[in-house]
Amino acid sequence: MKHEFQNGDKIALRNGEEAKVVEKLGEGGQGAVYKVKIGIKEYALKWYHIGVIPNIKKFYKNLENNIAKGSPSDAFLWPLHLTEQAGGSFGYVMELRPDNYKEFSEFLLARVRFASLSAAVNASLNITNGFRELHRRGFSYQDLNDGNFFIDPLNGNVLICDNDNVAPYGENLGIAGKARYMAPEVVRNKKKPDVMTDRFSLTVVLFRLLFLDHPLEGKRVVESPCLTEELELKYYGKDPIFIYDKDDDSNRPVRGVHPNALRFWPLYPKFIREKFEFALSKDAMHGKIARPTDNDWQIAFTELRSSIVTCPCGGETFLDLSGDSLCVCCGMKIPKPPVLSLQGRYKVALFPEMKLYKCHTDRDSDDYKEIAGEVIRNPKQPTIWGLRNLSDTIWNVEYKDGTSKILSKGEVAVVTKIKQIQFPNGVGTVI
Amino acid sequence: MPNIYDGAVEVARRTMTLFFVVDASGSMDGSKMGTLNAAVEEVIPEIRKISGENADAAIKIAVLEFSSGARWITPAPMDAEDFTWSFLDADGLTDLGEACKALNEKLSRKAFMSDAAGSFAPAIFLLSDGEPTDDYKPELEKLKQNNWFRKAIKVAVAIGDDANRDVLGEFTGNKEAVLTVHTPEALAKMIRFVSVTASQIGSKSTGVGKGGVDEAANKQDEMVQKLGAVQETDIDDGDLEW
Amino acid sequence: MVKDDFFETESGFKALNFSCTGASHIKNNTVCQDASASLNTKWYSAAVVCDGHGGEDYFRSDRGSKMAVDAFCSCVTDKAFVKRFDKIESESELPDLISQLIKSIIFRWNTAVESDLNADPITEDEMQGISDKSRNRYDLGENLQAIYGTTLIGFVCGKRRCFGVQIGDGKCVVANQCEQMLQPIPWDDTCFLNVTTSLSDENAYEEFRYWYAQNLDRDFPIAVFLGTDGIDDSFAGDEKLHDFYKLILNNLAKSKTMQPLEELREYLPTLSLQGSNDDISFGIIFDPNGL
Repeated sequence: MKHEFQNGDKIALRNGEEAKVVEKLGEGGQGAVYKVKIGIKEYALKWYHIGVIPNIKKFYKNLENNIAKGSPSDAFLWPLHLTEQAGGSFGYVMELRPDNYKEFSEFLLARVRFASLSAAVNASLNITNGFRELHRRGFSYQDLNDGNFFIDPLNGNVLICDNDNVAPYGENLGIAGKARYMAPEVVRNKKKPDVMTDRFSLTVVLFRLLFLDHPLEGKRVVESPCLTEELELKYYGKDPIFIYDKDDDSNRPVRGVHPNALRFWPLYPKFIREKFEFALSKDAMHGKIARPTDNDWQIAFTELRSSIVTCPCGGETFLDLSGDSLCVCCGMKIPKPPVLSLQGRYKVALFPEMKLYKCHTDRDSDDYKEIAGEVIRNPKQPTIWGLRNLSDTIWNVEYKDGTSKILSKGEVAVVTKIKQIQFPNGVGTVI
Repeated sequence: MPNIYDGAVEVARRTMTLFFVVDASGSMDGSKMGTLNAAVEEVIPEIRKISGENADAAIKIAVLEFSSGARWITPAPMDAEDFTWSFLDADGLTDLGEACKALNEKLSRKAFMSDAAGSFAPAIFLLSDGEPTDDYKPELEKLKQNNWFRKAIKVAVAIGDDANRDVLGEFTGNKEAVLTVHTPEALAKMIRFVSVTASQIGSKSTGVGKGGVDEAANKQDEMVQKLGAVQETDIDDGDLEW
Repeated sequence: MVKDDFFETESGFKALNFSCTGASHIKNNTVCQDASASLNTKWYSAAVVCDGHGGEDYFRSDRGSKMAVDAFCSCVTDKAFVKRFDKIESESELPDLISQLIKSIIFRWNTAVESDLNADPITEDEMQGISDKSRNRYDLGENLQAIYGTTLIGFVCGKRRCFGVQIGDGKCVVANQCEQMLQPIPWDDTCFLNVTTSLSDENAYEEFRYWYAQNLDRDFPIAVFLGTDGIDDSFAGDEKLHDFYKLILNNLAKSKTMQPLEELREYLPTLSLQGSNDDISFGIIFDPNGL
């Protein structure tokens, strides 16, 4: 049963304020979303349909907790205020989602495209980090799928929504999750969704962000013109096979049906492909080995981001840090640039426009957003590249010829001369 | 035993439309227009013959004249068999933009290409002797977005030295599809050659399908190749009399 | 023909198909590039028409169109599919079912092409007449599937549900309960003049279009006509094409026998000769009791 609010209706909030309905924005299976005004500011308000929540009391209390705890990071569209219960139902208030954010499912249907490779990789990084923060605060998402998050195609900024199903680790609100994103053990009904299963869903989301096609849907899944429940259970639960499984090629992508996987998979650097091969290996899917953690993915995508460069032809391509690379757009050879190995954890190519982030220069930081340095071309002699310190800290650069240079903010060291850099809390070595 | 469908069904042959886009501005007055009129009138029977003998397609003709403004002489493309050339008079400016607009309007399923089910790409033959007098660029840009125009075989004839060959090259999309004539004989010869060749190439059935092979581009290329072989050879400056 | 037979059907519909070689192909001694099939079962009647691209660059498209027909038929006769189709409760289940069907058709077709290429590699003889553009791609082993390129239009009419799928040109015309003649499968504007999307395309799945009846009182067909472009290119516009199909239905209604369809089969070569000159494939699914 649904309750339809009219424009101008007033909804009472728990904190004593009032939300005035401006217009209806949309509707889903669980409830409807309205644009409301509280005071002079506009917000979004979700109101649940009656009868869709399995355990109202538990759900309401959980929402209350989440609101009190606050959002894990700015990547979340988090509940802000609860409404009073009315007519057998209730709702909550959250920020409005800006127009430039598009639903992930639009990307999958190719109605929206990322403006660049960097944007796609940034989106992966942002989602991964969002979930890392969520899990660190003790929550699990439980219903991750292509409808819950929104991405700005220009830069990969992410807004994770539908956070009403988020619950503390160990607790389950009774929502099962969406097929094709559920972990195999959940599909088989052996387990209820939690952090471990979130990781599987995250892996599927990350794969689809980069390759669009679903990682478990290849030859095998399109053999039969009809996916019976039995087959679904087999392909997503009992016997899932990654389309690029290292040893088993029985589920490879099909020409004409999965053009994106076929096209994009070979373009990406080996290390990220190996990560997916590992995360979606039969052992990982069956729980025989541990799935990569959020942090593993965050490091991997930070690394991936550091291998994207702009070829002189104008197109973006990946650098293979172990040798020369070929531009995926124009085919031109790009010789191996100097590579800075940081904290034994990250490798960054010292190529023009490459950025160093705080997580690179500070061994105790995992801040992948704050820029600490960048590689630039000398304006008068563009073949000479320099590394500029953009942070507020002092760097001590050791050159190959034995000399050294103190780099404060704004100063530049010639890339080809660098042997090692001492940061206040970290070291980078050119390899 | 007679078949119940024989005669009961209105079958249509596939059509190829040949467009004559004619500059009838004041500068064409006199022997230029006279020659053009005579040349086209003479070539029509040859086109009729091709249409009749051609199993692949029927040929239709449409004529657009432009001077001050643009006018369709044919309210709808006419079967070559039924078409007779009405002599055009020369007077006024050279509104090429108006001509592009008119073409764009009629190059549509709702207008002249309504027999589209089964049509071949049209052939567009532009004849002009001067500079456009209106702001033709915006209309030409719009025309270039028109699918029929893009697929069409396009040829232009620049009559005399005052014709702006660059503009004509913009229209055809290919400098080699712009021919220049200086004498009445050359004009007549070119009109015959282009009309006949375009009708032949345009109405020929060749391969189908996407897969990267664009058939219409081949037809334009074919036309250009044939034109290359027939460029005017006897230019005698001193002999020019228009 | 015995009159009683006419009204008897297993599924409520009767389906028939014809293919004939085009006048221009007869003249050049080229083999027919079209293929078609029809199925009558107790759950549904179905028909499919496929038009191989022909021309020097697509020199095995006669095989391709047959493979497409086979792929469609093997998919719609698959036991699991039939069972599922019969049990559908609401139209909202159809999009998923149709999407999976399309993927499977593309898969089976590509598999058949691969087998054929392995069993019978391309010879230099076959590559004789191809354009330079195609030669460059085929030599690199790129897009060899295009050689078998074909369009496909398939339609299935069950007791309470029906749907059609299409890639490429050709027309599917539905005569519905309100006596309207419509072309419900969305048109793809990339199919223009003689350029068409193809089962051999790399993103064939994205290019497929489909339709299913939603408002059964209004949209459900009395008859469905499938035709490759050899038919619609013989008519000056959709109206004339629909008139032709109306004529066929009227003849069927009047005679209450299959005779008008027999005569149609004989007429098709004439249609090609006077009209498009192209190969023609025709499929019809109709409800004899609804005419």
